[in-house]
Amino acid sequence: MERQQKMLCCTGVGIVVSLLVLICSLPAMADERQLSYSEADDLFAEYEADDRQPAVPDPLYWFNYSMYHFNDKLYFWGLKPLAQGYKIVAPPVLRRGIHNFFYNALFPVRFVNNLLQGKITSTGNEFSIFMINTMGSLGFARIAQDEHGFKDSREDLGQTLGSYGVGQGFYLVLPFLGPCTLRDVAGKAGDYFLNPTGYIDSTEVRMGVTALDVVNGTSLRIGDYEALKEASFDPYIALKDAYVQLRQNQVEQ
Amino acid sequence: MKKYMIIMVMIAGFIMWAFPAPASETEPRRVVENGIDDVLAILNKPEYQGGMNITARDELLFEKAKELFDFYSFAMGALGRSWRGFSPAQRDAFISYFSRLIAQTYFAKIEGEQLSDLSVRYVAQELLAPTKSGRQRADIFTEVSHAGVVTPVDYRMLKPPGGVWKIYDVKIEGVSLLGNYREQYRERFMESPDELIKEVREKVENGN
Repeated sequence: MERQQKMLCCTGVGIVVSLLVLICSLPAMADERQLSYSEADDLFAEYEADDRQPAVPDPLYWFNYSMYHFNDKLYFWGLKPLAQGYKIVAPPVLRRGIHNFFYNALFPVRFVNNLLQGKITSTGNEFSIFMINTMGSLGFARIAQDEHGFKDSREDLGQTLGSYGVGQGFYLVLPFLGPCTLRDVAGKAGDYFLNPTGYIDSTEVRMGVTALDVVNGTSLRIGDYEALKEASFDPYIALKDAYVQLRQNQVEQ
Repeated sequence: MKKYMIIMVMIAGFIMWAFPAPASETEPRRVVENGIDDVLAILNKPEYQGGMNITARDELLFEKAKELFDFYSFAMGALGRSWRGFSPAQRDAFISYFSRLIAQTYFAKIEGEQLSDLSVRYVAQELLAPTKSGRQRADIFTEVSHAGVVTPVDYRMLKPPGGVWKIYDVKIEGVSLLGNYREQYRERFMESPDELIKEVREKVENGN
């Protein structure tokens, strides 16, 4: 090899040859790259279409980030231990029943918003579900869905506004309530008037009921937030995107 | 119009479920079905009960996951723009750690869950137009019921010509796992592939 190289170098042919090799190999390398790119491209086109959808801006990043931090600590130091303790005391059947009860009590929100979106069949279904479950079990069981095959339509005012073409606005993280957008803040405020909990006169009872709802709901979902957080490189962005995707999907349905 | 489509798809799904046609084993729906059955079978094996032999079990689950998931497409979709800067070797390295991370996180979630009341219902299968390079695509819609909570879980699948159906994205309650990663990586295309690989590697190593 060495002798060969020496010989070629001496005659000057070596330079020409190596240059030729180099020139020839360049397009070959580029070709190879392009091949793997084009293979990727047909999927990329779809991802890029996804990315073109208007991103939800985050002008209040610093506020949101501190609220995210606050809620995170609130969850790990307060809510989660509480829900874990509650999980030990309350059997799954009871927790499921309470979950169903609170879900049933929010019937006015779903009914009105289905109506506002002109979803006549769903409005009727929601009414039937409410009547069957309330009469059959005071709302503790999902008789209509499990035995009669009715399908829930979980509409709320945020989704109604979305269906009217109102954009999500900017991103907001609320203390205690978590991820939100401007549109959904308006939605939540409006829906509050349709939430029976809001009409409980005694403040203590109202807070107690709300606490039960939150702790019970959390006990059924321990681990979800942890998984999202652990699997992510930037939990703040991961949570924001999960919320935005979830709401977008709900509006489309 | 879209709603009618969904209803039609659901009816079609119901008919397929009620009257199982001579469905071939290579149908995308069957791949998901068999995959979930296999995973549940591993989880329910008596030798892995009560937190015993977790490492061996997770290894078995990971092998299964590699069979079911197209981690190449998954990593590509997750990295988005950054993917193009990765050399083949860097891609391999990234994929190996990234697939570990996904598996690790979701196995950890299964840990300590009561699996007896877990059930999966197949809602529908939708065959989509193939990609430009001729890969077939399908979406499988399922509902996972656990502890009284019903969660829609959709699997997006790919089949290259001559290959087998594999999952390349999972949507939980409409939230795409792949899209979620892409959003996290979106602003980071300036960072070198090695930095990103190091980050995943450290995350995998710290998780154990």
